[in-house]
Amino acid sequence: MSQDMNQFEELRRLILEVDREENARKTDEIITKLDELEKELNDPDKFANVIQQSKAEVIDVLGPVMGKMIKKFISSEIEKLKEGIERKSKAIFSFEFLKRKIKSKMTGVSEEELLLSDSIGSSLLQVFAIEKDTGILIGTYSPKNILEADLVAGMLSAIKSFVESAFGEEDSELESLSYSNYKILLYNFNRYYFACVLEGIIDAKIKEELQDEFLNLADKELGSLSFKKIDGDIRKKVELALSKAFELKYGANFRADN
Amino acid sequence: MKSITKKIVLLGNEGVGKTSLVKRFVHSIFNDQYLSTIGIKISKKTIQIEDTEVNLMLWDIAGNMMSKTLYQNYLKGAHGVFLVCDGTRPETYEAVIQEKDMHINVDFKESIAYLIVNKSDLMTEIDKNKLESSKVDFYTSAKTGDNVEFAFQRMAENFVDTNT
Repeated sequence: MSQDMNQFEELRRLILEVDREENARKTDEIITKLDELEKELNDPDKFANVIQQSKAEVIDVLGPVMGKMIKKFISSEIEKLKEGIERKSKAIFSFEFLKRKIKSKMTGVSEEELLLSDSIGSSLLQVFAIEKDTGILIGTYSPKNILEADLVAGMLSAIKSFVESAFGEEDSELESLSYSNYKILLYNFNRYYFACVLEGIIDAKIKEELQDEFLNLADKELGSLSFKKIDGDIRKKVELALSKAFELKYGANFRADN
Repeated sequence: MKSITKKIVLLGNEGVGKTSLVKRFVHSIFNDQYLSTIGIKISKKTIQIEDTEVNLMLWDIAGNMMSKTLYQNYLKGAHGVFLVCDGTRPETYEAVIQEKDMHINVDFKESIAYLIVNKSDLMTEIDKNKLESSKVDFYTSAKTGDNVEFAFQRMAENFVDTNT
């Protein structure tokens, strides 16, 4: 019995030694491969190659995840596009759209400009009647009375004079000044000019309406006045005429539709 | 009460004190710092002459524009002109004398033109002897305020008297 046991122990030692050697060899191989893999992963070129070579597998794994995300995004965008088309269709067949289209054709003002004008409108801030040579204020009208009229009239005349001398050709006159959202339209007559301060979008229609208004004022109200000596009486008459023309017709605000 | 508005233009070389005169008259405060006017500055002052309210629109033209075409346009329609020189710089006096005789008295005959010798507080006897006193309308000092109000007042009185 004791001999059998000894033989068994000897056999186990021999077998296990072979196993241990085999295990050690396999462990070395694994460590070597892991080292190689680590090196490949740290090298971008080799990593790209790995992905490239395993494209099909990568797609198999990532496809379903990415696909769901892409599908969700596309569905949402199509929904938005559909809503947009519906909105535009309603606008295209609306009365406002047709009215704007006709107005654009008739006035020559672009539909975009009219659309902006419709939504924003224009505010009349102040109107000045100014003697040309002296820059002296003949009269002013403002719904809000926000500007120092005498000084503004003088400075406007100086700027006008400067621009016309520096850049103007003979007989040409400054017609407008722009600053930010404000526009000053100048309507020139022989002895005086009108300066109209507006805020907002100013289209050709508004310019034309103002032109008509000033022509009418020049013809009916100011034509008979003598500007040799601008005094309080002249100023009162001009201011009354301006007030009649602008307060009653437009009030503080007016839009292209008026 | 009657009310009239008149345009007064101030001419003169750079640094003679035009802007300081206007500041002294309009705001009654003298700014000792030299102010070089670029282009033009417009101020307003209302004074009362008897039963008339006179609104004076003061066009202060930069000295460096004296010989430019542009300033001709600024002068257009002026009811009054102040030709200003610096009492301590004779060349500025010569310049305004020439401007008055050759230009203002010829092309702007209807304007009331006054010659002002400014910085009178700094003038010596030698400086005064260099000027022809008969051609000078006012000796002023924007720094002390001497004669400033008086010069503008005289101009306004002239507007009312002559109904210019």
